[in-house]
Amino acid sequence: MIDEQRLSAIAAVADTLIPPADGFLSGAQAGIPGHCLNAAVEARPDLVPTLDEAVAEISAGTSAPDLVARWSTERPDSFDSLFLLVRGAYFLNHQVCQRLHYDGVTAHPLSQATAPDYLDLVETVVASGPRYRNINSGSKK
Amino acid sequence: MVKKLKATNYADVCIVGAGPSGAVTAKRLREAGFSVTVLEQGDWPDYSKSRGDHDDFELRQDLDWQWNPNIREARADYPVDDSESDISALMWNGVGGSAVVYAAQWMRNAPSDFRVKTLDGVGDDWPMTYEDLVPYYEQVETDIGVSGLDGDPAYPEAKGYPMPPVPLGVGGRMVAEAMNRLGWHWWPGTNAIATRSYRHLNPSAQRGDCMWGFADQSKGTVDVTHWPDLIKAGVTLRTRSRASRVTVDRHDRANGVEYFDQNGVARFQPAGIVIVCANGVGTPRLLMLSESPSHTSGLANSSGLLGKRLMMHPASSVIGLFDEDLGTERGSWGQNLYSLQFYETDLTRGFVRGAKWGLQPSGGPQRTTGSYPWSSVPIWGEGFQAQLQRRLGRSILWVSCGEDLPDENNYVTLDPTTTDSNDLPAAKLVYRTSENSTRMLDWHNERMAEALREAGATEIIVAPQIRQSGWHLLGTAVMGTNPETSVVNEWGETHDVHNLYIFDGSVWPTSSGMNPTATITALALRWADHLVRERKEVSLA
Repeated sequence: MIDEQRLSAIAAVADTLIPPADGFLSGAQAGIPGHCLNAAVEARPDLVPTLDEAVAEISAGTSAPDLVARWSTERPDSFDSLFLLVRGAYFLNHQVCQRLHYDGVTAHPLSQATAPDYLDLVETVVASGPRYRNINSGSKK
Repeated sequence: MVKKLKATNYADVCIVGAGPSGAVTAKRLREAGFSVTVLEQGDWPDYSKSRGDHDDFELRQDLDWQWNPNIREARADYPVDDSESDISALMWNGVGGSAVVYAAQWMRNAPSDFRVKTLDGVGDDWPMTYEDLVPYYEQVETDIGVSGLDGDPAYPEAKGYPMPPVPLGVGGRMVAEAMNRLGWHWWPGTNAIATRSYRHLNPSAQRGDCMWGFADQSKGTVDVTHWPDLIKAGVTLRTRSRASRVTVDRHDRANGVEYFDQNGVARFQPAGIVIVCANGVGTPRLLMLSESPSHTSGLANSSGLLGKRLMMHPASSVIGLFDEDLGTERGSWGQNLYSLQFYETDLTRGFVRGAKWGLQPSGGPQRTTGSYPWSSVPIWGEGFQAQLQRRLGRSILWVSCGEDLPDENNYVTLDPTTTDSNDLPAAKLVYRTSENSTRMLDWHNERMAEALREAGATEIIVAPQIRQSGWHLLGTAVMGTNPETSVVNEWGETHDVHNLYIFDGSVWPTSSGMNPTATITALALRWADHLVRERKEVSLA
């Protein structure tokens, strides 16, 4: 298969799974294929055979929407692997993460200076009194 | 056979397994002057593979830190045939044990958990009380590093935790306020997660990676909190050393452990005392592998109960989706808060015993667009972006841990066909979720949904029960005072072999509805303490 065919098939799968909407990039616009997919493949080489299989089917004439729809119902494990890789690549795009306001991998260390955010609320629980079961009588204390 | 194997240096005590109970036991025994050798089939965790601080964290999390040994297939893992089990056993075979990948939710058992038979007529009572364990809970909480808030009225008064709890967060506060309105119990989460610098631990960076390699060394696991100090103190830790048999002499006393070293060479570790800490699957497996002409059904199995009464805590999850930004795409993972409102038996509910709930963040974009716990088919296509924005940071989940009743029809045995990399028979599980558990999960799902709706959730998703939930492997070497109905006595000593002990979750007579590491380690410390007192005057060599 020539590279262009492969890239086209991957882009079709990516845009089927993640089409553009609400100002968000589509899968292909986010670098699938491209730098994001390359990084995802480096992270999860075990998922590449599934991608290759999808590409082969599309290159043989199956449309990307048909393939995705069929795999999602008939081959859920393959679908999960394919979708994991594609959206994994998608979320490696910094523009996407910025748009989502997602910075989950950035450290936000807790510190002693962090004010407790529970003190006003536990008062109600404490006021209810002991509630563990009395092991002698079986009733709540 | 023993004579053919190359023997290593004699140890007063040989412990099998370098997980939480093995480490706690080794610490106490070494402090008392015992020479201690620990055999661990796995290696040290490779934290260079921690990705919590990398963009590809969620993509890789189930690759390097996979919980299921059958999927992970690491060198240290032995196969576990779960084809006849509703639940797959999850574990980590290596220094630190399964706590390397636990969520670090740290719950003491409730006082009633030790009197289940007396109170509710099911299972068995434990040959000890909650009060017996309190000083040991307090010690392990200090040693491992637990954060939490004292004064929970669901427990008797006790000494506080060494660190304050993780924050409730926006979502946690909304749920706590709702619980107060409902008049339902809740309390800030107790976790083996550091909330400030504490001994070997750093404060949580709230990346949500505690179950996947925790990049910031903020989770209390014994490979971090215990083992480096134990090795300095003189404990011998043999990694990549798989125990294959506990041997006994002609007087039926354990005299050591045969094992395969990292090169596959069969060796023998002579010892005066053997303590097995290999979890609820690994422990019965090893003792079954230790059969001999005088112990034809496995070592310490005169009761016939070795491997039986497997309990695994069927779990369920309920997600609440909110219009507000809850900030739940990150956080300590962990529980923000827990509830014991419906922990005790109320027969009008249609089942006996109850469950603990823990409230957790829902995770980053990869996790919130995956299949579990959201639905059986992940979102894709036209709805992807809308659902992503609906879920990410705007969802929070309850996870329930329901008490699993002991049943001799649920068991661990040796697999007749499959072997591990040392040609030792694999483990096989036979386990069916009970009607009681199913009713309990369904009922608790409804209550958890009710709490989330009260908190303002505009949509509720009840996650399907899944196979990958066998975190808590309990009950397969039951403790009790009667040798005919139990494997070990109230001090963890096997009834059949008087210098062979089991100090892990295998010994639990009932499962409670709590995350078990707190009680497993407290029990191990109590028993190690007893062993020290009992053997103080005995010349072990």
